[in-house]
Amino acid sequence: MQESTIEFICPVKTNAGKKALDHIPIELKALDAEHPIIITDQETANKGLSKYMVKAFNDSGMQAGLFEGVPNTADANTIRSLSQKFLYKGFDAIIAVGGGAAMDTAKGLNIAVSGSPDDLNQYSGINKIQNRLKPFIAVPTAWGNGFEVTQYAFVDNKAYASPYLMPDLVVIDPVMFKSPDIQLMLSSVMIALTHALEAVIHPDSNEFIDAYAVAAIQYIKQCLPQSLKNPKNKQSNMGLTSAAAMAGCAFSNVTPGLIHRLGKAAGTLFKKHSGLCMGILLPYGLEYQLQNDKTSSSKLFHAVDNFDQRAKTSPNAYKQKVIDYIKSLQNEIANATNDAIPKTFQQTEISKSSLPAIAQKAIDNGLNIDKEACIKVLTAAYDGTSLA
Amino acid sequence: MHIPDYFEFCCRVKTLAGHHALENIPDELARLKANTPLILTDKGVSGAGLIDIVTQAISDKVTIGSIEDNIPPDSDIKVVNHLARVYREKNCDAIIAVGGGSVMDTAKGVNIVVSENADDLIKFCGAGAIKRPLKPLIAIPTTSGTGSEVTLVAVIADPEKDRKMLFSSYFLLPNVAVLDSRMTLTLPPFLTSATGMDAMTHAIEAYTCLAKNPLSDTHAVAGIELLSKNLLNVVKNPQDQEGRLALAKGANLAGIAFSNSMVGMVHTLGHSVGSVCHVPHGTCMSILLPYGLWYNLHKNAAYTAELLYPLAGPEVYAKTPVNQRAVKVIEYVRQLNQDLYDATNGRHARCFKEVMDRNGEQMVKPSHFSKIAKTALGDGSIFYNPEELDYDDCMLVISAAWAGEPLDLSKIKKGS
Amino acid sequence: MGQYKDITPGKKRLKRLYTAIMLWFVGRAIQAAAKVDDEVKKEFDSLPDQFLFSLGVSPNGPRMLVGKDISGCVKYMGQNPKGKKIHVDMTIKNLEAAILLFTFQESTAMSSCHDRLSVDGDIPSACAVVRVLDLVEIYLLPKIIAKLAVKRYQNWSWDRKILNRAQIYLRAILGV
Repeated sequence: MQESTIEFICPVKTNAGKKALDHIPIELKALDAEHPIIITDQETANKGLSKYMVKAFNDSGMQAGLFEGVPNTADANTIRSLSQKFLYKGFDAIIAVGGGAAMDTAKGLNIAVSGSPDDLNQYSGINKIQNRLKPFIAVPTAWGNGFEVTQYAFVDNKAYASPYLMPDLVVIDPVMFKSPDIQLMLSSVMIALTHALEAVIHPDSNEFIDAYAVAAIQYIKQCLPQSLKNPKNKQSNMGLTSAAAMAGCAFSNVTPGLIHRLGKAAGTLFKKHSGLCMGILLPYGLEYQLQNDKTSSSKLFHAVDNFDQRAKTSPNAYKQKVIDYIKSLQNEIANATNDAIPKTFQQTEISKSSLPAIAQKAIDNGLNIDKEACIKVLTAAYDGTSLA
Repeated sequence: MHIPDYFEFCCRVKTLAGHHALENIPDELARLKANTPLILTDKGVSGAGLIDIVTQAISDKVTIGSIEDNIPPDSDIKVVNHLARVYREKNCDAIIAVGGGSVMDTAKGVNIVVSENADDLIKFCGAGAIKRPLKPLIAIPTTSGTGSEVTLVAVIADPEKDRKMLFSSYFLLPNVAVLDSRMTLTLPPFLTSATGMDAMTHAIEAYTCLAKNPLSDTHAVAGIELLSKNLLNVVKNPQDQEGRLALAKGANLAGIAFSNSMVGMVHTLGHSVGSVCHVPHGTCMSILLPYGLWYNLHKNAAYTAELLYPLAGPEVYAKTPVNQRAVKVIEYVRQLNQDLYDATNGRHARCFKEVMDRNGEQMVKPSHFSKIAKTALGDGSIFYNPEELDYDDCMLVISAAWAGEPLDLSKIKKGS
Repeated sequence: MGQYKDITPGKKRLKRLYTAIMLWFVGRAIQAAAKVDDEVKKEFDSLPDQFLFSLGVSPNGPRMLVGKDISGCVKYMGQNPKGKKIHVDMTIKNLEAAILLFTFQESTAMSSCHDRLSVDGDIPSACAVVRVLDLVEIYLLPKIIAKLAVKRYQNWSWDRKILNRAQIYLRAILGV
């Protein structure tokens, strides 16, 4: 890459709003496909959401297949048997409805049927896929995490990364957000916020990435209070998932940041939702990253606050305003959920003595920050005190 | 933030921007599995030496199939077919388009012909007609700009059959848009100001018209910020490389915004003045922009008011009371046009009666108004304008824009 | 493990029927309005000879065609586009979008802003068609609904509003 040339790509089309599902048949036609297989996870099936997907095909004249109940972690066996079904029935497109597992399975399936099922192993790692895959539409539900739009997939705990894995279209329809699991929904919001904020202050950030990140943050600002007040509000829940998708688009153009990596490490080690861990880390991780960085503080403040606030605030106050905002979000969430969502690690079963292990895991997975600094951030997040 | 009941947003174009962005093209071609591009451009661009810069940046890594610079100011089907033949003869496997709107449209047309082996382009007109990815297309804009490097439409004229063919498909989008400051460094001040205001209009209309959505809004605001901070400065200091790059990015962001949420009456009337009187597009946009904002005030003042922040900055925004912000935006735009007029020694027109052709003749005369108004009624962008426009409304706006006088708000029909 | 099943798409009979009826009525109302209202007449006069436009639902939904016959008379021309030269083809992308349009939850303008419509053909003529549709909607609908369906609800004279409306309804039902 030439010095200082900025780069941005987002091949994902977004369709969001009322009756979005019903546009799927014509979108498939535009992608030259007519016979999709629909894959969902057990949660989605249990909540009775598959029927909306099926209804969207009424009057379309298109035949489809529906597979309900992919396992909670995508695995090669399920993919192999799905790919056999895919080839036997002559499907030509994949639609994934649900959360991370459905999306990962769909992406793995796409690799398997665009080449051969044995290809899965061959193509793990970064940028190993060389060709366009079959048309893939992602329909996230409330327990998604924005990963559906990214170039990543995880199958059997192996990572696959390639822009060809990104869906052609992400469809966000309020009807899918009737009765979300609040914990999962908030976890997803925290991941979205982390992705968006870390994308804005990333060294590779640019105006194009920011356009998606800022949209995500604005969605969260507008919709989170409404969803907290009324968890059954489909419109605001849909807005939060839109935020996750947009944050995912921004995230796909940068490398994962400090909060993401620490949060994921904590989540994996202690079997908690990584979003909840990221949510706890947010104010402390940001405090660390913004320490002496006036430019990033300014950028972040501009992304987070609306025009009226921005016009009134002096540059020295930017950093604190951002951190205060995140803390106020945490409080709002804690109040609305009767403290079901922890604000510090102390409020969880994660012990202070395990913090170094979390730091180490994150560093092993690629975090490029000095271990002592990580432990400092984690400790602040444990105690709920400022870094300084 | 306005969240519409439903919206669609798509910008599949990979964007590269920098002072040496062109040098990345060989890698991009390789990623797209191509290495023999056909370079398409027009005489203006090649005359300015820009093609040499492009070829120098890429020729030691790729084999240039051919360089064709005979694209006319209005894209034409005969030219498209001829260029497609050249593509095949030289065994090209990709297209690089270097230029403005007409070069981009022609390149998209050529891409349809060579990818689909089309003998009759008309078959691919209309929505949904192009269903598969086309050959690799890299777009290098040389103005900032029309934004056509990120639009999914192409218009190709067929003068023999007296028709304009409109193609629309996500597959028409270039694979890569390369924004390199060297490509606009030599753009003369009066063209910089006109194309800059074109981009500004795209962003402002995308933000204030009916099809706005959250993603197009953030792109529009980002575009407006870059354009308003840099346009006047670059017109006064044409060699400012950072400024040129900022304008290129701003125009690109504005292009992404309007490509997804359409434009309104400024384009409706602007297209008509362009087609009836042959006034350049950018000039029409700069003149009509304040009038579009005035006319729609009673419908979208709230959105217009928000634009005061990216246009004029935080201090002005904070000082201006909320209910005066929309009008301040219009004042700001008028002032910008005045400043650009001064900085270009009068070549950037502030109103239609000032627009002169090469011989010093007025290009728009009152006798044209009626035809302009009638043509405007047939422009598709009229659907997306917040307020209805009929013949009398068009005449009202055109007369005011011709004279350069404020729009008489009391004369605007508001319905009940 | 999960469960697989084939999906054969059903039909939305009731919604199809409703949309078909609305399309039929609007088509006949346009035919009537072209005889009764000067503005509608003028719009059609500016359109080419034997102009024909079609409004329908993708993929195989109900459809209506309206156009000028050889003598220049504006007529509702049925539901079948086969073999006819169509100047402007407006397609509503799916039945649900058609229902939103014909239950006036979305106006024609908002429907196209929401990407629910696609328009093929001669754009200036399409603009005229949309203006005609707007005028017909003002005639057919009570003010409170028509105001949602069009951008600018004009206050017409009493005879235009009441007398013409009655004529249009009558003619649309009787087909004259």
